[in-house]
This record gives sequence, structure tokens and C-alpha cells, in this order.
Amino acid sequence: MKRFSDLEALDAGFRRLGYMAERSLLTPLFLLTRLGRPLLLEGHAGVGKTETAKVLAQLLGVELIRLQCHEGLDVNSTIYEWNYQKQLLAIKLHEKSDASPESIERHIFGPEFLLERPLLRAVTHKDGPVVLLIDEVDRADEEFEAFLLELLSDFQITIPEVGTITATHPPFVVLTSNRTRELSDALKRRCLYHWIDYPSAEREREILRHKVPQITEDLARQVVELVQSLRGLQLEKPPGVAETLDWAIALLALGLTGLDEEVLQATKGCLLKSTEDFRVLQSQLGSLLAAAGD
Amino acid sequence: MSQFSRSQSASDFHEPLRAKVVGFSHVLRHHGFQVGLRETEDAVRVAAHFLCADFAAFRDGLRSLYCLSQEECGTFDPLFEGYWAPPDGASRITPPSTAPRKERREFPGGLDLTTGFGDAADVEQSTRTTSGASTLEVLRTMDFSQVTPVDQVRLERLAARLWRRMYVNLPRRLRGANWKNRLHFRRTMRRNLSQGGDPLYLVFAGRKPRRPRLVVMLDVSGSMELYSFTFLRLLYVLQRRFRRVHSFVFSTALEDVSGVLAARSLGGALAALSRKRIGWNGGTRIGDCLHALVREHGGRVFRQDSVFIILSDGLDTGEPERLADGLKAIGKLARKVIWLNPLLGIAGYEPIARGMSTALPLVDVFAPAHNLESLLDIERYLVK
Repeated sequence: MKRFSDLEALDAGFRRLGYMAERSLLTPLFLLTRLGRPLLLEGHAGVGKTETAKVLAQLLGVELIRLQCHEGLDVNSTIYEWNYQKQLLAIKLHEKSDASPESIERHIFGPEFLLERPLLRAVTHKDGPVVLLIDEVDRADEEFEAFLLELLSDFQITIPEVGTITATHPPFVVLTSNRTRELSDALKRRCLYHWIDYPSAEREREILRHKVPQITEDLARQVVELVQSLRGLQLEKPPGVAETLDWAIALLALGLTGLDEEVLQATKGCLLKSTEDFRVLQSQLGSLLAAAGD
Repeated sequence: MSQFSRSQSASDFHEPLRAKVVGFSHVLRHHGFQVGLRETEDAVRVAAHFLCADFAAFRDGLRSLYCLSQEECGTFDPLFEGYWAPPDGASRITPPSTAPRKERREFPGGLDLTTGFGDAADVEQSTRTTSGASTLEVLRTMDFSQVTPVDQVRLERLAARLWRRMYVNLPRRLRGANWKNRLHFRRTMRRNLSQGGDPLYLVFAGRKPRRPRLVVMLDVSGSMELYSFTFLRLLYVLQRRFRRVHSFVFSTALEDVSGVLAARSLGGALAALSRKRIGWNGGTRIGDCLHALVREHGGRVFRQDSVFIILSDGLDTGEPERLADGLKAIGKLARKVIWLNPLLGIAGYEPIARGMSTALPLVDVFAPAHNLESLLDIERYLVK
């Protein structure tokens, strides 16, 4: 695994992998690798929360273990489950042998009967630490947060039949949340916290130039100006960076070099995703284009 | 630049630096941040590493350590500036003395909707002095139209607690079904321990109990004036507690307020609501609004397990046929239609108003909603 001596090295690494991170995000990431605290990233959809963890894993040269949260997650699907069929078979096989009940019990609750789920896998990983991404933790039930507490503070997992398993190499944990609900304070206090905002105009142009190299300087400027002013309106779903990129690619595919009303009407579906937002766009069309054209 | 790691103890660091960071923790705690020993310890490490080398990174680092939300990040920056690098002429923020401080709570004020609910200090004061089981009991059964500003706050807290309990209870009440689809191995083994491990009795995994989706439509027309603001505030609590709630308000037109009510603070939610063009205290066109709900939002908000709740007194100025059509359409989309009527709490009330009598045969549950107790009864209807 690689280590980073300072923020500059981390910044350079992220840039090399095509992720233009704001400076304020790099410090918490740096602290994540040094203090060993989990990092909770919150922010609107499409600002690159998940990507951060992926790039971090790539940069450190370690495996990424991802747990996508959803309603109804429980211990059995995230931490461990016993292989019940195998246990039943083992009991049957041992019936004829003269093994004592205690030894059979020890046997069937051994590691070979344990099915490791992502969280346990992150803790028991043999060759160095991993990056553990717990994605969209706000989608999971509140009960699930309680399971996470032990893992996040001490990097250990307790299995009643086996005992407590402590991580030999504490994983680097990144949690993301879209903030569809408030997470518990207990969870948040175990984490470093960072709110990822939409990028500044300058940073967004940089991202655009990097991801869509064919784009002209002028078009990039207009696209970013317009998207940035769109985010200032009261929209249901303000466009994220992903939408900016989609839109720029769409404009290029259509062979367009500048923005006007007709172009915007034809391609608005790349930016906005609901009829209410279309209506807002319609009412602000003139001023938006004027601002982007300057 | 010094390297740092978990193994270093905070006491290894320079004493003045430590004192300075501890002082900062005090300042933050004083401003309502939840700062523990561990945060301070880590902050000392961050300070030792970044303070002299990179001031911006020092700020970013401390922010990520101390803050728990976007809002706290907003409060953090000026405090940080004031403590570590006050601008020219400004006085430095100093740690508060350790004398017990007077607790103060922010109360949303200065809004059209929130005015009339009393002075914040007033509320806090009386909340402290009077509480107890009997008061809570009184609150649960108090008619919403009689609720005083002081009780309003207590009522919301109580509602938040009770709804939370309901949220946790619901899946338990929903469980116990015997769908025979899949073996539950863990329970099967446990069940058959007494048989020496022979799986004589099979236990099946039931379907996972799911909390129903709620679609709530609140009448804010003139006739509901006494109730609608209280309902709105309770709806806010509900929206934040249940994740699968869609809230609408209506009088002559329908407005989706789910997003607005999901705001962080009640004050913010109410301020955003007052900016919306809602016909507060206007007439009532229930039928049109039901149709609007089906037409514009139906596909999005309704699922097979949705429960539709309408909170209205049923005093309709539209055509009864239109109301009936609307309810029929909703009935096709939702699993259950519940009509909660605050007037039903009044002794001697009969649902004979034109709108109400048309609607009655088309709803599954018709129940009162004049106090918290009666609202909490919806748990019963959700399970059945």
C-alpha cells in the first residue's frame, strides 16, 4: 500500500486519476488515512461521493469493498451468516462417529462454516487494509446504523458463537449519504465529516476539460455558467457534475458550438429530470442564456 | 513536518498547543457542538501537523473532526476565524468560563406561519416547570383547536416520540404471517435443538414486513383554520420520522409539500411553505384536488401497499360527483383510504355535509382527528 507524505502528494495522485478534488476534501481524506477515523461524505446527488472512495482505493493500491445500502439490510446480509445447510450436513456426518457433542459444536461453528459478508470481509482481510465503501447509508434502516457502531469505532465485529474479531489491518472506511434522512449522532460522531458541495465554476471547467477534452474553451465556459446559475434556482433536482458532463457530451455529439434557446430546449433532458423543473427553466430561459452568453 | 499516527498520545505534544486546542473545543461546545475527548485528542494531532505548515488544511481538518452536519460547518467557520485568526480590529474569541451556562434553544421565529405561537423563552420556561405523566395524558387527548402556544411545542415533542415508537412497532405488528416460501435455517436449527439436531419441525421465513407508504393530503382551507396549522406541524414531524411519506396540502389547488417538509428545521420548512402560493384559508375543492393528485402525482407516489390519508372536515364547495369520482380513482391506486375528520371529535357531529355524505361509502376508515390520541390510532388502521 502506498502512503502519502502530504496533501500535495494526495492532490497530485487524485489529479493523475482524473479526480479534481477541492482542497477542503483532501484534508479529511488525508486525516482518514492517518487518524484511522471513518469519513462520512454528505452532499447532493452527482457530486462525486462514491467516486472519491473508488479513486482513494485505486490510489492507495488496495482493494475496494463496497456495501450498497438499501432498506431492510440486516446482519445476515452485511456482516456474516452461518452456512446452515453445511452445518446440518456436518451434524449428520458426525452422528456415526464417536466425537463428543462439544467437539462437534466447536467444529460446526468454525470458520469454514462462516459465510463472510462485506463488513466482515473488510475486517478479516489478510493482505493489508482495504477501502470499505458504505454507500448511501441513509437508505438503510436506522437499526442498521447500530450494527455499524462497533465496526466504526473499534474496527471489530462480535459474533456470539466465535467471539470478537478485531481487524488486523483497520480498513479505511468511507460512508456516503444523500441526506434523505438524518443519520444518528452516535454514527456521525465516530466519523470525520465532510459536506461535498457543487464545485466552483473554475473547478467545474477543469473537470469538464479533463473528462471531455474535445470541448472548446468557449463552450465549456458557457456550459458551466449555465449549469451554475441553474443550481441557484429553486429546482427539485439541481443538475450535478454528472449532468454537466452528459450535457457537454450531448452538445458535442450534436456538433453544436454555442448555446441558444433552441439548443437548450432540445437538450434540456440531459440537465433536468422532472416536468416541474422544465417549467422553472422555461420561465427563466432568457436570463439564464443572457448570463451564460456574457 | 512532523508525522503523526494513532499511537502518539496527545500528551506527547507541546503544552501550549494542547491548551489552545482544548480551549477551542470549549468554545465549540459552548456553541452547541458535540465535542468529546476523542475529537479534542485528534484535533491536537491535526494541529501539531498542520497549524504551522498549512493553515487552510488545518481549518479543513478541524472542520471535518468537529462538525456533524452541513449546518454545523456553516457555524464552524466564523468561530474558527474568531479563535485562531481574528481579522484586524476584531477581538479574539476566548473560551467560556466553566460556570454553568444558561441553556438556550433556537426557536424558529419571524415567519408568517410561526407567529402566534408565543415567545420562545416563555415556552422553554413553562416546558421546564410543568411536565409529568398527567400532563402528557392531557396533551394526548387535548383538542387541537384548544392547544395553546406553550402546549404546541410540547405536543410536537410528544408526537415525535410517539410516532417514532409507532415506526418501530409497525413491522412487529405486521410480522407473524406464515408464507411458506423459504426455510429459515437459523430458526429451524434453534427449534430442533431439543430433537438432537434432527430437523423435525421446519420454520419458514415469512415475507419481510414492510412499513406501508403513506400519502397524506391535508386540507388547509378556511373551515379547517383551527386545525390546519397544528396538523401541518405534526405532518412535519411525521415526514421526518417516516421515510415513505408523501405530503400534500390543498384548498382550491393541490400542492406537494413533501420536499419542503423534509427540511432540517421546522422554521425552515414553514418559511419555505409560506413562500409557496398556497390558498391558505381559501375555499375547498376536494374533488378537483383528488383528481390533480391522481393525474399529476399518482404514478409517482402510489404503490400497491400505499395508504391514503385525507385530513379534512369534508366541507366541500365543489360538485359531490367530482369528489366521488376522485375518491374512486384513489381507491384503485391505494390499498386503503382513510378519512380523518377533526369535527368527528365534537359531540353530536353527524357527517351529513354534502361532501362528507358522498364520500363516506367510498372510504375504508372514517375516524376522528381532533387530538393526538386519535391521530395515533392510525397505527391500528395501518396494520389491519
